[in-house]
Parts: sequence; C-alpha cells; structure tokens
Amino acid sequence: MKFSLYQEFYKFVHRKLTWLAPFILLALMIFTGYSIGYHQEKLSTMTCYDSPDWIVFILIIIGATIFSMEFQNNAILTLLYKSKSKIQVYLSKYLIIFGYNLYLHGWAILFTVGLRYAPLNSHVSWSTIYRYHQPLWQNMLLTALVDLLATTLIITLVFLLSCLIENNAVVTTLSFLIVFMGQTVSASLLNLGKFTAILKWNPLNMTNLTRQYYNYVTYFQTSHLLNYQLVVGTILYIVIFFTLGYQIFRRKRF
Amino acid sequence: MQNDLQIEWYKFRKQRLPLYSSLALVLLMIYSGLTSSDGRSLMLSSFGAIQWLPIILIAVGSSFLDMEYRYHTVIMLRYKSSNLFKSYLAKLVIVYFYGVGLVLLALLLTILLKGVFVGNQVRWFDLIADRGSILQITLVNLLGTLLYLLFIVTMSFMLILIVKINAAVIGISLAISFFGAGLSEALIKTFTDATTILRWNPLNMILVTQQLTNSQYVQISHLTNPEIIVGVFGYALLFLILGYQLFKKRPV
Amino acid sequence: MLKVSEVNTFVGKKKITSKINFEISLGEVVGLIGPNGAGKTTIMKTILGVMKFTGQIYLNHAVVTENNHQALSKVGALIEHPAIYPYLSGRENLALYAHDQEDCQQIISLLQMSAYIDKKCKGYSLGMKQKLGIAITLLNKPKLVILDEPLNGLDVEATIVVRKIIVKYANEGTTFLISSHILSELQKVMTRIILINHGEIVVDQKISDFNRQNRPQYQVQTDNNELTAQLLQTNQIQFQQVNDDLVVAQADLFAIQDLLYQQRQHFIKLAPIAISFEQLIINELNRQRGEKDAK
Repeated sequence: MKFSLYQEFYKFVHRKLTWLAPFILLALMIFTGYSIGYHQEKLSTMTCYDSPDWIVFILIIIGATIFSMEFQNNAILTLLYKSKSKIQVYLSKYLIIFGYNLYLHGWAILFTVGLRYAPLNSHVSWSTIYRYHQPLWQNMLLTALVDLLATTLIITLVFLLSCLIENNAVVTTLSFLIVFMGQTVSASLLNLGKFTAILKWNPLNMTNLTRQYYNYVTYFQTSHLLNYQLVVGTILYIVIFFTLGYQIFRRKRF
Repeated sequence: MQNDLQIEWYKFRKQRLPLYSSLALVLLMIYSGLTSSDGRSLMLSSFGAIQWLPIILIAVGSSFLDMEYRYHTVIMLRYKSSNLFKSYLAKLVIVYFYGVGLVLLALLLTILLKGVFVGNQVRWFDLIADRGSILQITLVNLLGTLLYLLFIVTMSFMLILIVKINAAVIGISLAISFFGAGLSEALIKTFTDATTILRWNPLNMILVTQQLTNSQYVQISHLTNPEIIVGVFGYALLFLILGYQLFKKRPV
Repeated sequence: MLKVSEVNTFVGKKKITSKINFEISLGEVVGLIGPNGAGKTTIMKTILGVMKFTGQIYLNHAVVTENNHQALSKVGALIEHPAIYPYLSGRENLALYAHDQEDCQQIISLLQMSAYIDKKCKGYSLGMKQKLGIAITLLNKPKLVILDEPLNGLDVEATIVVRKIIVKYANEGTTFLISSHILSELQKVMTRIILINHGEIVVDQKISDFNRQNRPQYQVQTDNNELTAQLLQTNQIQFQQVNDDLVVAQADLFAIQDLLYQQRQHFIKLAPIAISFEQLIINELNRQRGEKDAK
C-alpha cells in the first residue's frame, strides 16, 4: 500500500496542473473578492473568498483525468498487476486526491489570511462575532472543515463516474452539472410537496452542505435538513459511492 | 473543401457522443417542463434549450478535435490536407451544423412539449408588451442562440488547443455558461470607469441569446443589439484565427 | 522521385536533424536505420511537411513545405502509431481515405484482414491495428509509402505478408521509405540503406555496395597451410589462425593470390566471413563514434 501511494504521489506531483492549481485558485479568489463587494468582508472571510466553489471546480478536473489518464495509455494494466490488490490502486488514488483536497483548503485559508489585508474589502477583526455566535476565525475554519466533507463527496462521485464511463468529457460534464445544478434539481424535487420526508435525503440535496453552513436561513428552506443531518447524509453517501465505485472498478475488465 | 466536409461529417456522425447529446437535450427539456410551472418562460427559453445548447456544443466540439490527438490520427489530418485551414474549418463547420440541427430539434420539441406541459393557458400568438408575440420572441431567442453557437464552437476548438485537457475545457465552458454573464456584470459594475472597454469582454457576449428580444438586458450588457452581434462575430473570427494558428503550431 | 536537400528540422529552437541530403528514385525500397532517438521519425515527419524545417524537399519535382502539401497526395504514411478511429470499423477507416472501392478490397484481401474488417477497431489486437495502419498507407496507388516501424506487433505470418506486399508494390513502381529495428526483416526487402545517427546521415549506399564493403574478412585454406602462414608472415601480411583456416582481410586477397601463384600453391577454400547485418550496423556505428572521438 505504501508503494502504491508513493507511486500515485509521484505521478501526481509530476503533473503541471497540480502546481498550477493553487495559482488558479488565488486568481479566482481575488476575482471573487472584487465582485462580491467591498462590504461583504465577513462573508468573504468565512467562505475564504468563495473558495469552496473554486476548489470543487479544480478537483473535478483533476479527479476526472486521474483515471482517464491511466485508461488512455493502457497504464492501468501495469498498475493493476504491479499492485497486490485492486483496492490498493483505487484507494491510493482516492487518498492522493483527498490529500490534495486538504492541501487546496490549506492554501485557501492562507490566501484568505493574506487577502484580508488587500484593498479588496473593508477590514474586520478576526475576533468579530459572526455566524453561530462564534468569532470569525472559528467560522472560517469550521466552514473549511465542513467544505472538506462536501468536496470529498464530489470526489467520490467523480471516481464512481470515472469507473462507470470511460469518456472523461462526459464524466466532467456530469460532475459539473451535479455541482452547479444539483441543488436546483433537488429543490424542484422537494417542491413537489410529496414524500418530502424521504426525498430530502436524496444525494443531490447534500450539495447544499457548505452553502447552508454559511447561510443557514436561506438554504434550510431549500434543503429541509438541519446542518448535522446534512453532515450525516454526506458521510453516508460518501461511504455508499465509494463502495459502489470500488465494486465497479473491481469488476471492470481492462 | 467539399471532400474535407464529407470526411469530417463521416467521422462525426459515426461517433456516439452526438447521438447521446441530442438525447440529453431532449431529456433536459422534458426535465424543465416537469419542474417548472411558468409556461410562458418555458416557451420563451425553448424549455431551457437556449441554456443547454451552448454547453452541449462545447462538449461535442472539444471532444471532436481532442479525439484526433487521442487516436494519433492528427498526423493524417495534417499531411493529407492540401490546405490545412480548410480541414480545420471543415471540422468547425460540421460541429456548427450539428448545433444548427440541435436548434431545429429544440424548436420542434418546444412546439411539442408546449402541448404537453403548458396546454392552452398560454398561446403562441399571445402578445407580450413591447416585445411581440411569444412565437416571435422564441424564434428570435433561438436565432440569438444560433449566433452564440458560432462563438461557442470557435472557442471550444481554441480552448482545447490551449488547455489540451478535454475535462478542463468542459469545466471552463460550463463555468462560463453558468457564471459568465454574472461575472461580466460584476466586472463592469466594479470598474465603472472602464465600462466602455469592459463591455466588450467575451463573457458579455452570452447575453446575445436573450437581449435581442428583451431590451432590458441592454442595461446589463451595455451593448446595443448591433454592437453585441458584431461582438459575437468578432470574437468568433478571433477565436477561429487564434485556434487555427495553435492547431498549425502544435506538434503532431 | 523524392529529393531531400540540406534539410534541418527543428522542434522549437532545438535542431533535431542537420543537413539531411538524399535522393530516392522510383521503386527503391530504402531502409532508414539508426539508434533510438537518432531522428528517423523526425525525418519522416519532415518529409510529410508537419515539422518546422529549413532546406528543400521535392516530390516528383513538386516542392513540399510546411504549408504546401499538394505534392503529398500520392503519399501513404504510417508514423509511430496507426492512425485509427476506434469507433469505426476497419473498412470504415479505410473508406475515409479510399478513392476506389476495388483497390480498397484488394488491399484488404492482400493483408488477409477480411475476417475482422467489418468489426469496430476498438476490439482489434495490436497487430490487427498495425495491419490496418499499413493498409491505409497503401490506398490509392501511392507513389511513395513511408513506414515507421511497420512490423510492430505483427506475428510471423503477418510479417511475411507485409514483406511480400512491399516487394509487390515496389515492383509495380511504388517507392518505400521504411524504418525498423528488425534488421533481418528489413534486409530482405531493402535495396538501399540510409544509416543515421545523432540527426545526421552517416551512410547512404546501395545495399549490395554496403554488404560488399563491409565484408572485409575471408577464410582461407590452401594445399599447404603452414607454408602459406610463413609466406604471409615474411611478406608482412596480417592474418589470424582460426582452427584450420587463415583469416585475412579482403584488401589483401589479390596480394595473397599472387604469392600463392609464385609458390605454386592453390586455394582450396576461399569464403567470405558472414557477419550478421546487425553486427555490420553496430560496427559501422562504432566506427563513426571512433572517428568522432578522434576529432
């Protein structure tokens, strides 16, 4: 397992995109800083300049290519016979992306600390009490933590889709649609007004997690789930999608 | 050129993606019909088709060019062609024609789905103040989409040559489709001094799909109808030239 | 029919091949040989006008440039990987380029691909794909066929089939430029050898000339070997004693013959020492390296 992980890590750090992504993230965060408005300093800080949306964007692209890259050049065969079991291959890829997810969130927080001093918005102290009667710094860290869970769900989904569909264009499109449209689709499902008690547990509803955390009032009306329920739901779906994805990967013939 | 077109068409129609994409359009339009109860806006947007069409065409376009690199066939494309520009153009034209086909399909489906989901609450010849009949507006919106598809196809070809990762191109394009107009608006609002220049930013061009029939959008785009049309054509031309240069330069 | 003169090829600013000069006439089968990374594929790509280059390339007196490919209409090429759309069948892949159905069908049967030609290429084995790639190059009665490692993945039978086809087409006037590392196979078809190393042509000869020049040693036996040995020693002609044979250089043969004649001795065995073609190439490359070091 250690070796599989090392292999994946090696391949990963040798991709240009891996190193480019934090810069892309920074650019997008600055852009958000400009467009979100000068007086939204508290929200900007809490959401790390909307980095949850941008990080998921980067992760989908990297995640969707991490499998298709292997399929394309038939490298998957070497990978499979060189490793002890298929779960190692799958898991090590998964862990690398998870690590990268952590890394990107780390950067987002660091960038935020820096950007607060840029003339993007008016300045507020870290100890200002904001959401959930907590100081701003705590808000920010907790949002990042919650978002880590939300992005992990998306990664798991991307892995599942990659094993299901070999064309990475389709995988990417579907993943983006789920991220961009998931909440709308879920909302329209819940608007039917029937079976809400069950339907509110649909996986698309979980895409509300981060947004609801930093904007409870608005999003609770859409999701019909409490924060902790969303967290539980997300974890549950991570487990389900991971198992499903791995089962498909295991049975796939190369 | 005719031969180039024939070959590209053959390669195109034998793929599975165009078929699946058409099916996706049908499903998405039905989905819109199922979930929205606002019959009028459903009709005006051709059951959401004017939003979906650009996204579908980007995916189809960039995959169609990317495939030549993936299958190592680009060398044939390059040396077999007596005029490289014509082969590049032929590819573009085929994808655009597919886009035109999808627009026609969307129009047909809109008429069909209107009967199913909207019924007789709203009629095609109902008038909307200052804007004309619903049929008229729907048609002009689709026309605007046709224009915008020109922008989209040339852009998707250029992007895949720059970024080289199909997944990234699709991601960028989706972001443009969903956030583009909003970003452009934010940009213009933030830098009010530079409006005269910034209103020409490429993200602003997406508004051509709506502004032709709704003059309120002029306040967002800051471009008149003729201006935005010129903008769309201008960018399409620019992307075509840039894309072709990249295509020519990229090692096979 | 193909003239390459003073061609330097570049990737970015880096020069890959330098001062490439050669001319090929109708019906020749030219083997392009060299170590990995010597620039074989680059030369082939340059002829196809898809690389940045300086110098001139003429095909049937028509010029080929990066932007003018008019002259390439009668050229078939297989470079590195077979250019195949996996979602099409073999026949459909051929149809993309074929002008003549009959010609197409003939190539299919020549290459013995009928059994699977109508199946999607997605399921083809490496060898099947390679055969299809070769088939594409042969479409429309090409004047020049460029094959880069055509034997990749081919089984014994297919290798023989391809060899026969090359000979057949060459006899009908098609010119071939082939690179391969399987020298024994190449040796059977080529009429001329171009050896390149570090982006430069180091040998360009008819295969018969090349073989003759590079067969410098002969095994000799006479009716009195011992006497002959002494004779050579006194006349300062170098030789080696290997078993019952004296091994001498080709260059000394005439002198030896004269000596034997004077002493009334006779050859009872005179045989060129067969060196494998591989060994010849390696010798040649070593010699080049030696010359370079000497400089």
